Amino acid sequence: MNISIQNLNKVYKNKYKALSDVNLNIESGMFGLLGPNGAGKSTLMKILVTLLDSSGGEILVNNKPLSKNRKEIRSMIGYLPQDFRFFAKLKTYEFLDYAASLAGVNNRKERRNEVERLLEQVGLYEVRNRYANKLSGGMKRRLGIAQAIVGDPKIVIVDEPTTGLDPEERIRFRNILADLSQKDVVIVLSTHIVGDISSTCTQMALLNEGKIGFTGSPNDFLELSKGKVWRTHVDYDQMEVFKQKYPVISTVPGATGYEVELVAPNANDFNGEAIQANLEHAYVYFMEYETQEKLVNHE
Amino acid sequence: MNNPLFTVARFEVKTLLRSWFFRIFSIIVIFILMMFNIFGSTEIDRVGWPDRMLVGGLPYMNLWILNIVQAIIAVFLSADFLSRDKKLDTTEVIYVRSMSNFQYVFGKTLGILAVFGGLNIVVLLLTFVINIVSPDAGFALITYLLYPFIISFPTLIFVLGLSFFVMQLVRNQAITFILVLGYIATTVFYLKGKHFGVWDFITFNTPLAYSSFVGFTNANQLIFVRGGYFLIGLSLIFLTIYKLPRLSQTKFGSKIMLIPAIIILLLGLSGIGTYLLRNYNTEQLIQQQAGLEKALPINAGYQISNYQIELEHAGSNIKGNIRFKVESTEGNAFPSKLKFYFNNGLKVSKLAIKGTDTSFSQELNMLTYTNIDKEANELIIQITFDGEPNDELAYFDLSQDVRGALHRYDPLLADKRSCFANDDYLLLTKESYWYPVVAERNALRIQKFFTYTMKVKSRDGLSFIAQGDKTEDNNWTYFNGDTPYSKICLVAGNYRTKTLDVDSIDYTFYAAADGFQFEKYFENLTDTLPALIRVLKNDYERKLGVRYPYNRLTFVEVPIHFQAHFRGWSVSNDNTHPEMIFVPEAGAGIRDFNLASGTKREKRRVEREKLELLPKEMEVNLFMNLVGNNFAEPIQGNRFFRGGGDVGRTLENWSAYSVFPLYYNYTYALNEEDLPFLNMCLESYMLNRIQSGGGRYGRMSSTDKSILFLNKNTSSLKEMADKDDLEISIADIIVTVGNNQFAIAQSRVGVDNFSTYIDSLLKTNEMKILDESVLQELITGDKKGHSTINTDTNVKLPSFLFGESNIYEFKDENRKRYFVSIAIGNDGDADGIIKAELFGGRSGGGGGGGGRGGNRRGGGNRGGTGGGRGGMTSTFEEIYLIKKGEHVQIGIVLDNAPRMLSVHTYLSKNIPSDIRFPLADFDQAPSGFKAVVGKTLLQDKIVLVKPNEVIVDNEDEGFSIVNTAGRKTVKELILINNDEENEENGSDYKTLSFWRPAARWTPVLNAMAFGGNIKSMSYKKGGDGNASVQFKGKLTKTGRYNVYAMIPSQRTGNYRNQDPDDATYIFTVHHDDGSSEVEVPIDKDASDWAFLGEFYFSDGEAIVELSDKTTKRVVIADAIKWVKL
Repeated sequence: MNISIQNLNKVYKNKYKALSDVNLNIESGMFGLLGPNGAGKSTLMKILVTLLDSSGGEILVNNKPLSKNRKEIRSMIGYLPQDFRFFAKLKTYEFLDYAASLAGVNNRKERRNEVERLLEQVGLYEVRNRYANKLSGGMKRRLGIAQAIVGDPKIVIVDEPTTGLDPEERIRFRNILADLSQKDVVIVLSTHIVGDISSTCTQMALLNEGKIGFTGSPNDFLELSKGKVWRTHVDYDQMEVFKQKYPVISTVPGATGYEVELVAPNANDFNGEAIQANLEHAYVYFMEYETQEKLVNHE
Repeated sequence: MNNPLFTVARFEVKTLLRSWFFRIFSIIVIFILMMFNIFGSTEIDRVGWPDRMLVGGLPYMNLWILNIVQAIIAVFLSADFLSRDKKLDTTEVIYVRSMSNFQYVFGKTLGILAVFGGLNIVVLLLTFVINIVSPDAGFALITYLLYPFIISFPTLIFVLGLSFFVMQLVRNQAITFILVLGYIATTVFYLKGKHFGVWDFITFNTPLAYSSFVGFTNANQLIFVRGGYFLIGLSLIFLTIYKLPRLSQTKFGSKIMLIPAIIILLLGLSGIGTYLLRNYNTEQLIQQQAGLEKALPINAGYQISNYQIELEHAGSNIKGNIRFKVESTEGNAFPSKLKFYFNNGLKVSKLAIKGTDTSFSQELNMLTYTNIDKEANELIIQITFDGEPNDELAYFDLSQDVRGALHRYDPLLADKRSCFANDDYLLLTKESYWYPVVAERNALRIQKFFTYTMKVKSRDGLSFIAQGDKTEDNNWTYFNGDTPYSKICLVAGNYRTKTLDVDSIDYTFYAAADGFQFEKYFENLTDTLPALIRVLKNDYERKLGVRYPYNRLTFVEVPIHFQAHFRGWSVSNDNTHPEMIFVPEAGAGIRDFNLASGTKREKRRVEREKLELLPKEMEVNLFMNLVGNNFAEPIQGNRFFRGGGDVGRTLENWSAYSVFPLYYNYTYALNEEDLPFLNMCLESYMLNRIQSGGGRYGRMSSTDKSILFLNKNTSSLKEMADKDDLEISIADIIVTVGNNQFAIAQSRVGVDNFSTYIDSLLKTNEMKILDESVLQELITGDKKGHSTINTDTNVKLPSFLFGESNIYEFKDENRKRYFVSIAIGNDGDADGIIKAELFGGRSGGGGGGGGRGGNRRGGGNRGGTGGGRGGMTSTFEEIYLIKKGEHVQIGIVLDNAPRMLSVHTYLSKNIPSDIRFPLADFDQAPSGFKAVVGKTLLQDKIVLVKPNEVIVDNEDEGFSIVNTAGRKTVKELILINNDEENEENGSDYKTLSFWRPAARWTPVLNAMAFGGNIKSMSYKKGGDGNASVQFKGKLTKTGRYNVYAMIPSQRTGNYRNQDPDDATYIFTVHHDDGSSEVEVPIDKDASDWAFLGEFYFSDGEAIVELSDKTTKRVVIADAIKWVKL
C-alpha cells in the first residue's frame, strides 16, 4: 500500500487556508501525523477519507488518483473521526454490524463472526447489547476503532484517537493498532500527543499551520534535537526571566532554586548539562526553533 | 440484499422504529382510528358510521385519516434524518463507506417508506378485522390493495422528497418544518379542492370512493394527479441526492442526478398539467354550451310528444335510433331551425324526416336541423347514432362552484358523475340527453309530457330498468310507457330485485347483486309491509291532496359517484324520475339506511323507556323512519359528521329522494311564457301541505332573508332573476312573493275553498300542461289579472305595526270563554295579509293514527321550531287582509285559554316575519265588554312612539357602539374570527349564538325585541365594561323625564340556564345634574320597559349608555325611552 500526497491544498469557503502544498508519501505501517491543534491534521484526514474535497493537488492511492476512484478507495478505508460521541439509536453490536455490512462483509454468518471477534478484541463483548450512546468515552472510542478496522480495511485513518483516554485505555488502543500494522495496511494516526507516535509509528510527519514541517522516521526526528536538551539550576528569582527566554520542559523545585530541563541550541548563556533527548524534546525543539527559521526538509 | 441501499434501509428502519416520536404518533393514530372504527362501525356502540357499508368505505376512511397524520410525521422524520446526519459525528464513518449517494438517500427513503408501509399494513389489518365484525360493512379486496398505492404511497414519496429537498436548501430543521407544514396546511385548509383538486397531494379532498358498480370513475385524476405527485416526489429525492453534502462516488459527480430529476419532474408536472388542461378545456366547452343555451328562446314553440327508442349497449358504447314526434305548440308554424339537446358523445350519422335523409349539424350537446317543410305542424324525425355517452357537459347551466363542489358523504368523497357507460353498468338520465330534448331555456325548468316505447339490448347481458311496462323477448328488452312522462332514464347493471304489489302498484327495489343488505332487518314485516305501505301512501296522499299517478314505484341503487344537482327552479333533481327513485350506493348519505344502527337505537329506546315492543313493532318503527324521513319528508335528515343545516328553501337541505316530485313535479306543469315563477309558487304551495317545521332557532328563515333583501332592493322579480350576482337565492324571493300572493288569494276566497279549487284544478290536469292564466285568475280574482310574481312591476311591501294585545276571560251566556285581541296597522306601500295563530298548550305529537310512526327520532328538525312552540298545536288559524293605511283590531274568541298568539306577516317589511305574543296572564273582561270577532277598524292609529316620548332603538341613528376595540384576549380574537365564519349570506343580521356568543356588539333579529317593522337587538358576550353602547336621544323640551330601558327577559340568551338569577345590566344616564349609574335587574319571563329613574334634561342631546359588564352570559341592547313628565 502506498499513499502519495502531492501538492495538496485546501482553502475553506471563508478563505482560511487549512493546507498548503502538502507533499507526503505514506507506506504500509503506522504513520503518525503530529501537530498542534489547528495545524490542519483533521482537514488532511478528512480529505484522505473522501469527506472533503481538496482545493488543489492530488492524492494517489496505489498510484490511483483518489478523486476519480472514490468507490474503490472508500471500500479500502476505515476511519475514526476526532469526535465520535453521538450515535443513532443503535446498540453497540448493531452499530458494528451496520459498519461491517457497509464495509462489504456481506455474508451474514461471516459478519457475525467478524463483529463478535472485534467486540472481543476491543473488549466490548460484555456491553454489546447496550446502546452505543450509553457507552463510556473510552468504550465509544474502542467501538470507534472496531468499526474503523472492521472488514479488513487497507487504509485505517484515526484522528486524535487517544484524546481523553486514561493511560490504560491508551495502551490498549495502541496495541490494537500495533497488531493491525503487522499486516499490509496503512495506518495514519493524527495526534498532538508525542507519546502516541514514539511507541508505535514507523514514519511520521509534522504539520504546522497547514504546512509539513518534517517527514521521516521518529528517529530522524529525534536526531534534530540531539545535544540540544539541557539540565540546569535556576534560582527562584531568575525563573521568570529564564522561562521567557527558553522553552522549559520540566521544573523540579529544590532548596536553592529549580532543577530545570530545557531545549536550547547551545548552553552559552547558562551552565547546563546535556542530557538524552526524547521525542517530546524534539517536538518542542522543532516548534521553538525550526519553525522560526526556514522550514527544512530533512529527507 | 447486499446492496448498501438495503443496508442503509435496514438500519433506518431499526432507528425509526426506536424513535419515540414515531412510536407515540403511531400509537395515537392507531388508537384514534380504532376508537373511531370500534365506536362508529361495530356493535360495541351504535354502529353510527354509515359509510362503512360502502365497498372500501372502511379502508378508505382509515387510510384517509392515517394519510394526513403520516404526512405530518414523515415531515418530522425526514427533516430529522438530514439534521441528524449533520449533528451526528458518527455519520462520517458511514459517509466514508463505499456506496453511492443514490444508494444512501434511497436507502434512507426506503427505510422510511418501509416503516410507514408497516404502519399502513397494521392499520389495514386492524381495519380488516373491523370490516369482518362490522354489520353490513362493504368489502372488496381490491380496495385494500389499491388504497395504499393511491392514498399513502404518492403522498409519502412527495412529502419525503419535499422535506428532504427543503431541508437541503434551507439547512435548518425548524424552518423546514414551518415551510413544509405550512404548505400542507395551505393545501388542506385553503386550496382544498380548488383547480380541480390538483393541490390535494394529501388526498384530503380527492374523490376516492370505490363503487361496487363502476369502481373508480376518476382514473384521470388518480393517474395524472396521484402519479404526478409520486413523480414530483421522486424527482425531489433525486435533487436531494444532487444536493447531498457528501462527495459523489462516481466519476460523473452529483450533477448526473439532475438528469433523472429533471426528466421525472417534467413527467410529473406534465401529468398534472394534462389533467388541468383537460379540465380547463372541458370547462370551456361547458361555457360554450351555456352560451348556446343563453341564445335559445325561453319557449321553443314546439315539443316532442312521443319517442320510439331502439338501443344497443356494448361496453362504453351505445348505438341505435330514435324516432320522435315533434309538434308545434304555437299554431302551425315551425321555426326555420329546430334545435334539440343531444349528448355530444353520441354521434348522429343520419337524420331522416318521413324516411328521407336530411342535413343536420351537431355542436356540443346541440343537434340542429333546418326545417324545410314550414307548413307542417307535426314532424316525425328519426335519428341514427353511435358513440360513447358522457357527462362532460352535464349541468352546464350551473355555476362552476356548484359543479365543482365536492361530493362528500360522511366524510368520504365520491366522484361526480351523471352518466355511466361501461361493460358492467349503464346509467342514462335526461341530464345527459341520451334522447333528444327540445332545446329551449325552459327545457330544464318546466316539465313537458310525452309518451314513449323502447327496445334495448346489451351485449354484456345486463338487465335493464326504465319507466313503463317491461317485457323481454329474444335478447331484447321492451319498455312500454303506460302514462305520459316528463323524463325517462335507462339503467342497466347487475341487480337483484325485490317486488311487492300493493293496491296494483308495483314496489320494486333494485339493489347491487352483492351488497346492500337490508332485508334481514325487516324479516318479520313480510305480512305487514303491504299494510304499512298502504297507510303511508294514503296518509301522504291525504295530506298532499293528489293521487300517485304511476303503476309502479321503483327504487334503484345507483353508484356512489352518481350526483344530481338541484336547480333553483324546483325541488326535484335527477335522483328522482317518474316511477323511480335513485338511492345512492349502500344508502350512503341517508342516515336511516344505516339499519344496523337504527335497530340498535330502537332497542335502546325500548330498554330506556321500558316499552314492551315486539320485534315486529320495532321493525315497523324502523321502516317508518326510513320511509318517512327520506322518501316522504322533503327535508333532509342529519348526517353523521355534521348537524342539520339551515332549514328553509335553501336547496341543499331538500331530500333528493322524496316522492314529492313523483306526485307533483313530474305530473303537473304550468305553461309559462317566461321564467317558471308560477310553477315555483304552486310547487311551494303543494310542498307546504306536507312540509312541517320552521327555521332553526336563532337563525334567519329564508323568508326573513328575502324580506330583508326586498326591503333594500326595489325592482321586479324578473330583473332580479336576470342578475347573476344576486346575494341570495332568487328562488327564495320568488317563493316568498308567491306564498304571499297565494295567501292573499286565500284570504279572499277562504283557505279551504282555495285548497279545494287547487285540488280540482290539478285533478283535471294530470300530465297535461296547465295554462298559467288559470292560476293568475285564482290569485288576482280577475280573469285578465296578473299577479306581481311574473310581471315587470316592482315589488311593493306592506309594513305592519303592532299595538296592544289583550286576553280576557268572559262569560258567553253561561260558558266561560276567552277573547284575544291584537291591534295591527299597515303603514306600508301595499295591502298586506297576516296570519294569526293561537296555540293552546295542549301536547301535540302523533295524535293517533298519524302515518309516520310516533318516533321520528333524530329526523329532520331537531332543536325545536323556536320559542317554545315545539309541542304546541295550533288551535286557531286565520288569514286577514289589512289594506294599505288600515289600522284594525283583530278579535278572536276561544273556548280554551290559549297560551300564545303568533302572527305571521308574510311578505312585508316586517322581520322577523313570525312574531309571538305570550298570553300568560288573562284578566276578567271589563264591564260593558263586547267580544267583537274579526277585524274592527280602530279609531286611533297605533303609534310606536307617543307624543311625549322619545325612543332610540338599536336600529336608529342615535344608537352607536363605543369603544369596542380596546384590549382583546386571544379568546376574544378567536371568537371574532368565528363570528366572521358565522356570516350569513348577504345579511346584516347574524345568528344569535348563546353557547358561543359574539365577542363584539352584533345585531340579531328577535321577535321579542322592540322595533317598528324590524325587530332587532344588538348583543355581545358579557364583558368587563370596556365595550358599551350609547343611545343618543334628541329631546325637544327641557324638563323632567322618566327614563326606561327595554330589557329582554332573562330567558333570552340564557344558555342552559347557567345565568345567575340576580344578574343585572348597568346603564349610565347622563343628565343635567351629572351622570347616574343604574343597575337594573332582569325580569325572568317578560321583555319589558325597565324604569331607570326620573332625571332633569335640557333640550338637545340626551345620552344613556349600556355597559357590557354583567354576570349574564350575554348583554343585550334594544331601546331606551325618555318620557316627558
